[in-house]
Amino acid sequence: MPEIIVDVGRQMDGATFRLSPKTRLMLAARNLGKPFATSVFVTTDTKEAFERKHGSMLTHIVMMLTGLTEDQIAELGGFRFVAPAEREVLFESHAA
Amino acid sequence: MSTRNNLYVGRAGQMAVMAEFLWRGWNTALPEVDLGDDVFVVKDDSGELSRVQVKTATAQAQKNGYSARFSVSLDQLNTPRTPDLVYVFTIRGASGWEPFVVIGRDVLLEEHEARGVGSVSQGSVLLRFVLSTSRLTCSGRDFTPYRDDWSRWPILAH
Repeated sequence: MPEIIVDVGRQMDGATFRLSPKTRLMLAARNLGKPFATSVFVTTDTKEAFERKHGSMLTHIVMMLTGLTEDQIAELGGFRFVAPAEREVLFESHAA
Repeated sequence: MSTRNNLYVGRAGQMAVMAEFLWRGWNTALPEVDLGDDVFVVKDDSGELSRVQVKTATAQAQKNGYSARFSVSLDQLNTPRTPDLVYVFTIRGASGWEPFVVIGRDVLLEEHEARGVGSVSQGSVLLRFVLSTSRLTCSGRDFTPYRDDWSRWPILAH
């Protein structure tokens, strides 16, 4: 099961992404990563434009929020995006 | 306390918080449609916006201090937004408003999830603040640093 959980707050024009508190504490306890941002807001237009050219943006969002490389993220079992209010898993990556 | 009285107390707390923002030079607005934000706080010259949720309770006297109970929607607490929500807890004491408790949603969520602050009941997190000899605690955690922490909104000169 992925150890990295990203909370997603969907808004009218996009979404806010933020590591769950337990994920932040887990990374801090292991002295892993150096986040570039505590939260990231991406508009729907930006996400669609990015993904048309480059594929899924989600790994990039996790890298920004954690400061981890793709390999380090995979070592932690990948990641899961959840909408806490709806208790809905929006996406779950599968680590190699 | 009756439901109608709760409405009056809640509105009084909201007005007290808005008065503090205005005194600090930040403009305030009330959303026409209630989607969970009580007050929008705006820096006039830049349009910088903050979302504020006001929670109000009446102090219950205790030895050497008081306690106050609040309820926060778990869904609201769990959901990140841009700009993120800030809670302002207002406590009406015997002789006036006690210092406000100002705490960001993300910080309160971390206190709840990782430090066990509050208890969950029917989709809400119940918080009990206890002030004793000048120290404010919630579920045993020191919340004193959040008392009157208006650092997000420095006083603006107009």
